[in-house]
Amino acid sequence: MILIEGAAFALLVASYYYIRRNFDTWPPPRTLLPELGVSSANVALQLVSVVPMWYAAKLAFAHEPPARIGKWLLVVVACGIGAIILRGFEFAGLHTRYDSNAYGSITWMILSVHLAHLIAGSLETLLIALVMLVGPVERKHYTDTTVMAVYWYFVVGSWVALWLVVFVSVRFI
Amino acid sequence: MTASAPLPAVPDPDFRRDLISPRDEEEMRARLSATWKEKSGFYGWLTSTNHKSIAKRYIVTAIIFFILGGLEAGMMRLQLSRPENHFVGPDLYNQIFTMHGSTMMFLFAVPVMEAVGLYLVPLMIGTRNVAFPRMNALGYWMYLFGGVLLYVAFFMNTGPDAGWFAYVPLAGPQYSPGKRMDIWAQMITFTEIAALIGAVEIITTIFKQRAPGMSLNRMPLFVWAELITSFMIIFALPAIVVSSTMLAADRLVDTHFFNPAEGGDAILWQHLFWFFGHPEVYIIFIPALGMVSSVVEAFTQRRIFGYPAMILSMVSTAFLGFGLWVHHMFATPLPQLGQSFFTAASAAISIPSGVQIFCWIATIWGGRPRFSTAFKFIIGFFFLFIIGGLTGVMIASIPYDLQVHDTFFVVAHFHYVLIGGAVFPLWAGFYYWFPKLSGRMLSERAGSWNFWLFFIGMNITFFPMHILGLLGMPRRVYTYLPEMGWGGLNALASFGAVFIVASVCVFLFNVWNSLRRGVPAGDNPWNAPTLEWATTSPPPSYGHLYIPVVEGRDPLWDAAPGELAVVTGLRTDRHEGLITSIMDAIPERRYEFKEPSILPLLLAVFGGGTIVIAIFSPWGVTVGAITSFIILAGWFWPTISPDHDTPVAREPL
Amino acid sequence: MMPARPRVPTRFASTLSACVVVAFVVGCSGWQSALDPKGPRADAVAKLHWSLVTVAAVVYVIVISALIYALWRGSRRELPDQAHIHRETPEQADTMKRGVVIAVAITAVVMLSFVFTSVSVGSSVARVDGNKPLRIDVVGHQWWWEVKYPDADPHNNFETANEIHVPVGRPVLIKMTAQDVIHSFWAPNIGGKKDLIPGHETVTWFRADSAGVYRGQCAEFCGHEHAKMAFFIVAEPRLEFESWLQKQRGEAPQPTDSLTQAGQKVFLSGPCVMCHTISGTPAAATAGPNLTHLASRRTIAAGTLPNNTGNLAGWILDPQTIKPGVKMPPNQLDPQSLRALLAYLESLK
Repeated sequence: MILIEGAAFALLVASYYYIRRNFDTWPPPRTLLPELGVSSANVALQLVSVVPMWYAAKLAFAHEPPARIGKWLLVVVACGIGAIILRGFEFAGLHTRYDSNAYGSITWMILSVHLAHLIAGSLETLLIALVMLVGPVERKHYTDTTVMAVYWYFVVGSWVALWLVVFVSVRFI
Repeated sequence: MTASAPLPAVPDPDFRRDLISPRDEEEMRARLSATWKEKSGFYGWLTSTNHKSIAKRYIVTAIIFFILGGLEAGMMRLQLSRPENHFVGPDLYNQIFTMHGSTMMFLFAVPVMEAVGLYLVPLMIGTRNVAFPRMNALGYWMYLFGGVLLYVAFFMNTGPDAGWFAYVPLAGPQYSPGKRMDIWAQMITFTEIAALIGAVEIITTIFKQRAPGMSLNRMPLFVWAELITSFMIIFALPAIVVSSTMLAADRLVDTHFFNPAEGGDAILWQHLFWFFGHPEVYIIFIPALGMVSSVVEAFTQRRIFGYPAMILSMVSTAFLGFGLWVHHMFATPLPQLGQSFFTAASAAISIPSGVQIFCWIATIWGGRPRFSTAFKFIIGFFFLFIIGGLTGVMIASIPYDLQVHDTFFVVAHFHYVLIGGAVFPLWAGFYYWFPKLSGRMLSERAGSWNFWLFFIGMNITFFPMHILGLLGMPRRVYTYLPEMGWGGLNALASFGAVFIVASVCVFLFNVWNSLRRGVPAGDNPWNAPTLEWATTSPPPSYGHLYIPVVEGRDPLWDAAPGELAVVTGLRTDRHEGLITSIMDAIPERRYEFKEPSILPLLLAVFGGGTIVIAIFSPWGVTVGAITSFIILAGWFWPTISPDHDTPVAREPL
Repeated sequence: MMPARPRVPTRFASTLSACVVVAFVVGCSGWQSALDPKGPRADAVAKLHWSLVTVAAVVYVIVISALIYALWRGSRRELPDQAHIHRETPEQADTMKRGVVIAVAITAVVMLSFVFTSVSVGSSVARVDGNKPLRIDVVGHQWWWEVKYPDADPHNNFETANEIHVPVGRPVLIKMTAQDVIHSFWAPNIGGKKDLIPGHETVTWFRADSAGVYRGQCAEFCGHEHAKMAFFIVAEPRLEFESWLQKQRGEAPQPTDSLTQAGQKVFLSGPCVMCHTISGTPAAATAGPNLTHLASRRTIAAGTLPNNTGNLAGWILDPQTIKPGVKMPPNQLDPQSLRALLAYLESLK
């Protein structure tokens, strides 16, 4: 799953730079630079969310009581919801519409696809958290938690890379 | 690693353990049959998660699409048999050739190669089911719905008509109005999901469920082929996911990915499409290479020479296959120096193919060939594929390609490699494995007719196309003027199609007749070495009676007859299997395969419905995402199985 | 949806075999044939073709012979003893290994020389060969070719459609783009194809070394009438080319008699002016081909029909029957107006 999505992200990034070559200025004329503020906040929040996730995974690997794991997972979910809300502001912060031009289209697509991952990741984490807190819990749910953590690291890690492309490199290329 | 129940008993390979008594075997058989029995009736058919049933469905559906694609080809050949023919007009012809390409590539070739893998791989590696049985079922339904979507559209005269490769801007909103290309794009969504699911299944199953002792270097070459192909699918399919999504977005919500007026780029589509499209043909071809190895082993009674070289060749082909895509774009304004790199890569990929061909010839040289129908198809493969490979190298040359690109020369080339290199090995596989699947032998006499008609017809149809291309006939033309001088060769090519039609008819008759009255096949009618021949024909729903233990690359040749080492101790009251380590297949723990369920069909219906709505409105995505999530929640809902796993005590909150 | 089985009468069968023979013998020459080169680019590739075919044929014969030999040898073998039945002996393994290694080495060498040859031929044909190339612009449309001859003096610029005249022996440099979808410019007798891509400018060149008429055709699927989007390259001696150029640069000849004058009126008052230009008249639309010197062209409808009165009449009245899907609508004209219009159009030399 991670391989597939990672390949898709790589291709979106390649497309981003490919489209760049069709423009003399980047972003295109009359388009403001995308907001660094709100997007940096989102990156920070997601990076922060790695900590409770890592901790929950560590507890799970050690087969600690599930209630504690569940609580830490809820923290992750909260971060995820925060990231989703911030994503809304990031769309606005792009200062372009998806149907304005190819720049708008590719940036919106990158943000949208990653948003889908944020949503799926948050919902799945929520589900596992609920199982941990409400039960009944089996051993294999520990494995679910550690596996979920890897996926979450992918979601965050891919966003760091995508953020660098869309919000940072735009200022240099 | 914990296993609450002790690991099943795996015998020490050097220790001669006790033979299992016939009474114990009977008991085992009875219990396993009861546990693994498929539910009866229509509902049972809808909810099946048995990999053999699902794979058989895939294969039958793929053959139906092959026939439909063939009928489309027949119509094309009829139209082109004479200059200025009026059999079909341009609009219908453009739909037909688009349908032919899309059907053959997306609805026949990839699915059938994956399906043969889904049937055989678990049997060959000695496990009872694929890793995620319900997801496997989901894959089939998505595939079926995608194909049905496409054909319903075609029969309603809204079939896609911009080619199977859907170049923009022709396939974009401005020049392909209506829903034709949206339907194409969403058919892609269905089939790409099915292909990715199949790939995940095959990789996971091969990595984690091989019989104890079947280290990676003891896997049959066919299993290696399916493994490598699945990795290719994982990396190649995202490209068409991304590009078809971009196309759908351009058409539905006015994005500008491919609109040059707003900074988009028509060439971006080509890069993304061919980054998928070129590996796609190797995704079709590499499983066929595995089939060739299997059939050559059985019909020369020799293990394939150069096992490590064969694996390395398939791996190199897979890697190199990702580095060739620009050779479809030599006529675009990409810099020549960059393009030359792709010439070199395209020439280089012939070397691993050459290695394989030489190793097979060496194997045959040292063995005792038996000219069964399956083996005839393999010999046909050599004759045809090598021609295709050589013309492929020719068109890897940029100046040469600039004359023959988009002409019938290329059509000839890829039909030689696809029919010769994939369809002929597939047909060899059909004749080879049909006894295992059905318990009956196919008629060798009808098989001979099948082979010769196909071989002769294929050459009559496609060889003249090389010449037609050089004489200036472009592709994808619904007609041509009489003064061009192409009428004769076109008529000849169309005549050859009659043979191909006859050949397929003979095949279908052979299958139907053999199912009813064919000679019963034993467990191993060909004296083949691999594990699928260790169980009955057809295999019971649970695959092997006992999980075998493997000590070499050719288990059935190494073991004395009737004396295969096996694993005992797996539960027979639930769908239990054995998980083993990736490298050396050392047993790790037990695993419970999911039982039949209606959820895959439900998810396919709702998810599929979403995709279909997305043809017409972007809101489909939102609605569908919600319904799909609900079903997925049910899918993954943690279930407590009594005394299966250790419940964990909760701390009071 | 079973197709009807084609009828194969004996006359057809004998014609068929005759065609095959003829095709092989005579087929190499032709006015759209890559194997009948009329210029350096096509010539280089034709030579490359024959050497590649030869090498490929030799490789094929060798490999297939090895296969046949292996099959023959295997099937004549006595039944070996049980111990080696499934495995090669060490001696056999050595022979096999040597054979495979040699074969792979030869393959690698052949491939390497192929790449080298291809790249050197490729770069030599990519370079414009000759001095002072003639400059032409081509714009691809669904389903016709807009051809412009730019000049240093803008008064000399003119446009035509579907027919490209060039002087023999002088290189021609073409800059191309497309108005709508991707097309591809390909005239096999003179050289390789190049795509016309909207949003991009592509460049190609060729040189015709003998006088003649060479047919080209669009080589990238571009919609309904992709099959009927041809063009002609007319290579003529320099003096004839210059006189053609001069005539094309001029405006359309004014109608001299009453019939042609009436025809011009029909043209200017009808829907024709919505799409076509005739320079020297108020008609200046660019959706369709420029008709200023229509009568000087050999064909109409992008190479689909010879340019004569009957075809022109049929085309004007109902282009959809000839090229279904084309952008030109049918035109209702009474016989008198049609006659006048035809007379006018045929005066546009």
